[in-house]
Amino acid sequence: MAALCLAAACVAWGCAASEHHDPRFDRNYDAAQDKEAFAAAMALVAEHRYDDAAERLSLLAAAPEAARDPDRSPKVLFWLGYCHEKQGRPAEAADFYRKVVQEYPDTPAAAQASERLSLLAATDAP
Amino acid sequence: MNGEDRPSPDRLEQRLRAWGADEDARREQAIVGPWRLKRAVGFRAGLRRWLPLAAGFVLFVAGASFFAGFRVGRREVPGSPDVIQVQEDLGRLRADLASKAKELGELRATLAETQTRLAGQKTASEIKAAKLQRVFEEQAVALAKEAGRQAAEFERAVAEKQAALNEALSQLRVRDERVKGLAEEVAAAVREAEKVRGELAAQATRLREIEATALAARREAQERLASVQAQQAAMISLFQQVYLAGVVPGPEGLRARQVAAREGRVIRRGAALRAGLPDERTRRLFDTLEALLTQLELLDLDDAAQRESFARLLRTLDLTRQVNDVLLSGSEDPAVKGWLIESQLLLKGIERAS
Repeated sequence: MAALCLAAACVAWGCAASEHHDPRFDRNYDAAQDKEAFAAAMALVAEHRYDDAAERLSLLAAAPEAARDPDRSPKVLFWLGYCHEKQGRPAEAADFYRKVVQEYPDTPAAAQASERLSLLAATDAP
Repeated sequence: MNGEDRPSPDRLEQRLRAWGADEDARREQAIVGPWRLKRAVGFRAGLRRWLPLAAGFVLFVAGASFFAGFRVGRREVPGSPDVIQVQEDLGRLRADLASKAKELGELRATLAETQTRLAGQKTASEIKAAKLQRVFEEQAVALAKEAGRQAAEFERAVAEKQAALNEALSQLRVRDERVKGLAEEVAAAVREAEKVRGELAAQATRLREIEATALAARREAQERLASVQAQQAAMISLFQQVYLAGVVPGPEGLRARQVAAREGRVIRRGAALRAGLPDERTRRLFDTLEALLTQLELLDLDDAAQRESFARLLRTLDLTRQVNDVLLSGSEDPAVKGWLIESQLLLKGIERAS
């Protein structure tokens, strides 16, 4: 009976672990490389090289690791919107900002996205 | 005897007349009065010559009478059915004739009555027409009188209007003369007003020059004040930078900077200021600072790698030199300079954070 309970507990723990999957436990996931890529994109943004930054950010957004990282994904989407905004594409920027607000509402990136959306609205208003 | 076999009245009448003539001739031959004896001597003298002819004539007449009596006499005998029939027809025709005559009389009476009535009606119509004509004549006379009266009134009204018009024209001429006089006065007043306006314009020009001089002096004083304030702020910020850079370059210092940037709404104020910047270099510096402040806002302070990446980025940008270049140019608005110093203060020292 005790062995049966132990097996059930192991199965439950395994299921819970698979639901809250951390990409850092992935065998092929290189966290350092991912952070370096994001930092490089941020440097490009600070240097006004928005095209290059958007390209790198798009690669990060397309990577499966980013999709499973609740901290990285909203930032990547936010900075993609920021690059579009600085390149004079407010509609595309607003799409990214709204996506951040809707999909990651309780994050610092969502707060910043809301701020950028209000700034875009103030800019569009006559 | 039916209707088709019955002889017509005309034919019967002809036959009856022929029969009457024969009877008369026969009666005259039978009756030889004594008054014809006087002519007997002459008659006898010619008798010898005319006797054979007379005898032959008598024989011829006798034969003809016999032949005629043989052919026609049977039906012409009074009391025979044909005669009765003819008499009945004659009676009926006479009755018809009397009826027609009576009807004709009645018709003539009706005609006379109708003519009498028509004559009466004609007379009444003529009387009525005469009355109407008289009424029309009376009305025509009344209308002619009324038209004459109205024409007289119209002529009188026209005369009155003409008199009023003449009066108005005379008044208008008087007013025209007054207006001419007033126009001359107005022209003089306009000339005077133009003269006064010129003097006012000259005085306004002098006032504008004085005002411009005053504004220039005020602007210079404001710029001087702003420069002093900027220098004061720069000195204060320098002390703050030294303090923050020296005392709290680590995670707590970064958190304090995050809170300060968020509470001061630095990014929003910077976006509002950037919209009015005329200088491209200043706008690019604003973009750089905005991106760095946003990265600071999103920085995960518990992640040492992120802190290190952000510090490395700040070290490569050399923000102090860029901000000082804009501040020392002296051409920007004090609010812009203040925002630049504030941003520099928030980011200063992070390059040494670990």
